[in-house]
Amino acid sequence: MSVAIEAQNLRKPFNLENTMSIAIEAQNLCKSFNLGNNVVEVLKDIDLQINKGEFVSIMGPSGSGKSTLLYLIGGLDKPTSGNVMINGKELSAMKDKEQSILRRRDIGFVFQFYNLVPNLNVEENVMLPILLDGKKVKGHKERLDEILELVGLADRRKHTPRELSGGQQQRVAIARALVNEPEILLADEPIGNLDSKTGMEVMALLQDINKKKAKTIVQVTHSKEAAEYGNRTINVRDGRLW
Amino acid sequence: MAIIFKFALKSIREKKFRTFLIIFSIMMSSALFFASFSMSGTVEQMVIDRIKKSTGSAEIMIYPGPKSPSPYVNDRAAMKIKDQADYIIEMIQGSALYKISETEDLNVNLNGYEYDELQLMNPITFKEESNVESFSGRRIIISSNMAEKYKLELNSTLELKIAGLKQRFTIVGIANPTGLFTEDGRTTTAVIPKETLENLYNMKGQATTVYIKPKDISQKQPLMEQLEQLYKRDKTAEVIPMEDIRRQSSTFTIPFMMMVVLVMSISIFIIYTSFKVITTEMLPVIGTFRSIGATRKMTDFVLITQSVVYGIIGGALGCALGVGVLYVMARTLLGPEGIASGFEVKMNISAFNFILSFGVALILAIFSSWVPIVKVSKIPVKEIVLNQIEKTHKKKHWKPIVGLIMAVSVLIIPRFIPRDMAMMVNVLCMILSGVAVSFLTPELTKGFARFFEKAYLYIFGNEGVLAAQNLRENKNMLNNISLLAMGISAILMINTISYSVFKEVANAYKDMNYDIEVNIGGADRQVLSTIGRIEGVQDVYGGYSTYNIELGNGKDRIMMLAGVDSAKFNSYNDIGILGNPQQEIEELDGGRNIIITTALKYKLGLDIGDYITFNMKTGKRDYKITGLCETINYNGQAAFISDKYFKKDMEARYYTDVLVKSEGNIDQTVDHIKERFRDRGIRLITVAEMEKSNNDSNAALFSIFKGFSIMTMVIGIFGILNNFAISFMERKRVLAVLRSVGMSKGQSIKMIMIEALTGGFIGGAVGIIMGVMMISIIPYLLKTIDLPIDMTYDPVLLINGLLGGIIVSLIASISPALKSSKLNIIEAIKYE
Ligand SMILES: Nc1ncnc2c1ncn2[C@@H]1O[C@H](COP(=O)(O)OP(=O)(O)OP(=O)(O)O)[C@@H](O)[C@H]1O
Ligand SMILES: [Mg+2]
Repeated sequence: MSVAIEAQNLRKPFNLENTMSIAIEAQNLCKSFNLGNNVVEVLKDIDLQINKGEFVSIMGPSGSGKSTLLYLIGGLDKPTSGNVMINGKELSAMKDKEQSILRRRDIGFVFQFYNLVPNLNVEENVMLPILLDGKKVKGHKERLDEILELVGLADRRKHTPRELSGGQQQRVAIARALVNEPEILLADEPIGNLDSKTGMEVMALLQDINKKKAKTIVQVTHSKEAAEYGNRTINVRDGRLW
Repeated sequence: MAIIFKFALKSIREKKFRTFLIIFSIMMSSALFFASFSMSGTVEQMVIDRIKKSTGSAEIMIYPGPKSPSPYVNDRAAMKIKDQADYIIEMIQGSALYKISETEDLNVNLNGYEYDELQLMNPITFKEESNVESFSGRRIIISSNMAEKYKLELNSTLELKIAGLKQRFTIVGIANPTGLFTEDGRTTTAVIPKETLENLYNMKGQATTVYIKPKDISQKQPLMEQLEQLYKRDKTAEVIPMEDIRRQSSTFTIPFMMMVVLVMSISIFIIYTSFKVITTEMLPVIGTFRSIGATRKMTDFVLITQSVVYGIIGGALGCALGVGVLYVMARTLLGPEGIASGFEVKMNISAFNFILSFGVALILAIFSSWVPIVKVSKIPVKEIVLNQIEKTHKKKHWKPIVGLIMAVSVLIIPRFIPRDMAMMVNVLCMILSGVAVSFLTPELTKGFARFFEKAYLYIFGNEGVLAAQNLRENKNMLNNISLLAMGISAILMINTISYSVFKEVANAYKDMNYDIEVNIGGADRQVLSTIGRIEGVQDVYGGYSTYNIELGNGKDRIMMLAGVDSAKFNSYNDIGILGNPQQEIEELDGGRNIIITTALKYKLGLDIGDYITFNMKTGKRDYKITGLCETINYNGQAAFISDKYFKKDMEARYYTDVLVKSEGNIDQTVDHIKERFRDRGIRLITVAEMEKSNNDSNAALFSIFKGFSIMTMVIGIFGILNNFAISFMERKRVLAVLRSVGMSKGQSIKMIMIEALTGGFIGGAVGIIMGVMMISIIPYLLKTIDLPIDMTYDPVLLINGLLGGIIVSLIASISPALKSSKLNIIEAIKYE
């Protein structure tokens, strides 16, 4: 309820300050899948605004559409109707190249199953977004050191993913998401596969990043504890915000 | 159990491309094996059939040799063995001209036979005849083809020019185009009574050949020995020289079999890698079944059955295709020339050939899939069920080291192998060089990848770096590189060999500094000086030669021994004499001295100063080796002595080698000489003609080899396509991850293409290394089959190999690259 009211207040036309401070906005977002002749409506008319610097947790039962929402926000999937704006720019209006640039510069994505590239070592995995941005890896050595320090993997930089534990892999994924200093970090159950102690370490790390670097963070989680690290919780049920 | 079978069958049916690939490679291997294995039998049969057309059931023939006092023989002496023979038949081989128009003559191959005898030996069937039984006087039998072509009718008169004079005959028979009258598009045969031809040629009671058929075929050899005694100065020979035919056809078989080995290695590789994927796919099912009580044997059985099914289908198709391949090969070998001269493609295949080829297919399938199947069956059930299979394969450090050792030894060993072991060791070395390179390929690829990582940063930017990084541990890419390497090395090898052979042949003919070879019976000084005076003849050379002369040990033979005229020889032939050629040749006149080729020196293990003993006409004679030469004529199996000693020891009376240098138009000179010796049965061939026909027959052989090497490459390309498809499936997830962290569609296409480019380049490079290694062994191998040919590398070929690798790889990557850009990121990431 509170979200809807806030959204009402914020949606004043030509309020430059307000638009500037909105990181993510979804309008009338719908997503359905065609399964043979059946159409499964997963997201039904979602309106959502997330301000810069917020740490939002999306919660809801399994199959409610949380991941789907996150993917749409991150531009990894296309909505059936409605649109998503990142930093005031409409995603669906962008070409593949622009979207890709957005993904590598402005958005960092952390998956539930880490999704590291197995034949690349820690360093190389972390540097992927920089590499894809056509930047010289050499020029970013310091940044790399800094980020590996931050996630506590400085001593594992030459290891390949299969030589790391789950928590370490998740931290590599976070480092990769952060290396290009994106404004927005999207995390789908970042600690879903970790034991609670490691999970809380990772959450503390995210909180740290949110506070110190003022990054906007959106995480999907099933854990109340994890949600408490954020400053707002959005509930999804049956494809709607609650 | 049934359900595992179902799964196995489903996997055969569903993975259509893989099934196709496995069956295709088995099929090609067994087809080529079948064709190569049946080739010698077929060639032999074709040669025999060709000979039998003109000689029917005759087994032995006697004809005048170079030492005969006259160009004729007769059956009088043979009558002594009359009771041992079914028949003894005399015939006269003549020729006639039939005037088609004012300007054009048709050459007629005129045979003189007694009608009854001919019907006994090689029966004619008639389309039309009139009272042909009383075949005498001016009567003639012509072919139906000639009759139709020139509108000649039964009982009409035919005018022929024989020995320069016009003669008239009555056509009493028009023969069907079989046997003696087989239509071959070039020669036209006609038969007249022998007695008539005797009169026309003025050779009463004589013949040119005597044909004999023994009553008891098992007594053929002793009978021939008797005849040799009776006809000391003439030649007694088998009508069908089986030994010669076999020897020649077996020289075909060896190189064909070498190619089959190549095709098979690539098939083994493909089946092996495919089965690795199959077993991995079936692992969960196998695990489940094993956990509920299926034995290891049962699951193994299912997998083996799968490979047997592939083997059976591939083998059956292979045998069928093999017949077609054999036909094409036989036809190609014959060439238009062969077909025109009356050879027919007739395949000599026994059931055994089919069974063997089918067996080869089955063994190939089972053998290649064995290792992956056994590996899977060794995995403990627990590990499968709990998905704990160690995915990191242990790095095998010994492999590159062993590979390196093998590579070095392969390059060194052939140089030091004694002749009697050379064949086997060299073939082994060639196989080893393949193994060596495949052991080294991962390290080579790593090295290349490291190099490219640096270089690509500048050429392609960061996508290049990524691509190079991806190559490092990409199994599929390694497989592609191996496949490319095998295919390219095969093509390279074949092309280099054929290029080298053509070069050598061209060089050999360049060494013949004359224009025309003259073949005329009874060539003495008189004949030579007659030729020398003919218009267009600048100079003429007379020498002696004998073929296949036996050495004193009664075992070895030398392909050609020549008795040379030291004054002129060197200006006619450049046989590559080491040292001062003229001095070396003149030294021959000083005694029983001999110059041998370096190939013979190697073959016989002799050197300058050693003696060679020959079994000559007058007994064993020792010749001292005084010089060496390098020529590939007569496959390098030649030796040269002075004409003085040749005449003495071989009792030679007539020149066998009459060589002519022409001034001006060679063809005109040929005509002039022909004109002058019109009635003496002269044959002339120009050096240009010899070179052409030599190249033509080589070209036919090499076009078959090229077909084989292209097949190798085609199988390889299919394998590569399959690998790219597998690789894409496996990498979907990684590609999606890359997209999720900001790789654009364009970037992913670019990356995949750069990977392909690099893989293709490395494959090409490794292929060239492998090819060059194998080619370096070829001369040693050829030496063992008495073919001293040096390999000449064509740089264009090497570059083409590299480009070919890159192009194949790039084309194969187009589909995965496009698919990668259409990839649904979420789907690829979400499902494990
Ligand atoms: N590609 C697809 N095709 C069809 N249906 C899909 C597809 N992806 C998701 N769905 C459906 O959409 C619904 C929402 O899926 P989603 O992954 O967003 O759920 P979730 O809230 O993230 O659940 P969980 O907490 O289990 O991860 C599910 O019912 C799922 O079956
Ligand atoms: Mg989810």
